[in-house]
Amino acid sequence: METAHHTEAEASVDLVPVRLGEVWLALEADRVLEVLGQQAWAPVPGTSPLVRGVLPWRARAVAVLDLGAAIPDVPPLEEGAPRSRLTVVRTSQGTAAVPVDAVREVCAVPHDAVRPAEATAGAAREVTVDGRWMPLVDLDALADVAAGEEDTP
Amino acid sequence: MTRPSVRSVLSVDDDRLFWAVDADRVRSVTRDADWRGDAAPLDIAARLGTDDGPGGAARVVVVQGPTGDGPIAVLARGPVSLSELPADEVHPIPDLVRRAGCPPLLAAVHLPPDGARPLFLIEPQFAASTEATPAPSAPRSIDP
Repeated sequence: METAHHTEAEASVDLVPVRLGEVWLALEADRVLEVLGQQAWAPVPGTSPLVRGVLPWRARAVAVLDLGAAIPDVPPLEEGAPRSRLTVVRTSQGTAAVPVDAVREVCAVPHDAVRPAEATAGAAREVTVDGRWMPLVDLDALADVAAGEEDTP
Repeated sequence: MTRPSVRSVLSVDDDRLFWAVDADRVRSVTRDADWRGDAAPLDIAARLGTDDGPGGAARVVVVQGPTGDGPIAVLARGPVSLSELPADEVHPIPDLVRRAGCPPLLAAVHLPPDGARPLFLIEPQFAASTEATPAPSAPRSIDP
């Protein structure tokens, strides 16, 4: 039974759908460290539009990523207008915070629900959740571009 | 009961940027009109490219370098005050933010738990490596 359970788990991927404006995106669930309520962030001068500022999390400052700078139709963050939810995520460049408008519970989708992006833009892959195609955000690629370690396409 | 660790700073409530230096590195504060230095004092907000307003009344804060090197004169536009910050609310700039272009002039940030205005602790000796250039343009999509 344990083997069967393990096989079933491997056949699916856990995702956290998030909404920014009218756009739904999917984050890999194992990258999401915490989901919090609305939290103010502090803009930092001189940074790339992908990294808009910082906010406190667990006794340290973490970077605030703006998915609106990378994904079409996603509204950019506005100073003084925090979003209603905050996801704290793990990236290749360390912990970061992604403010969003809404978060759905974790859902498991079969691996074959993930495919190279065709119907959506802004990410290399997309996934269908409850019949809705949405970009599957590659947080590592986003962070690497923000850090200047990966060329933009 | 031990007293919470604090960091004493001299802060400048400039409309353009709320900034501070460690108080024990401040040698003097003078009115701008009384400043007699050889070079114009460093305008922090202008150097960071946030110079979008006239700022308040000006003073000049002379700051000692961190290792005893020569003092640097910094223009302080706005109310100047001494304050103590809870040390656990003062954070180094995260590596990702630094790699994304945050200049070394900004050394740390005080993030009050009530969401009040953030206060940036500066290191004036890094001003020479901080240019007031526009931030890099945003990529419009991430397709690795």
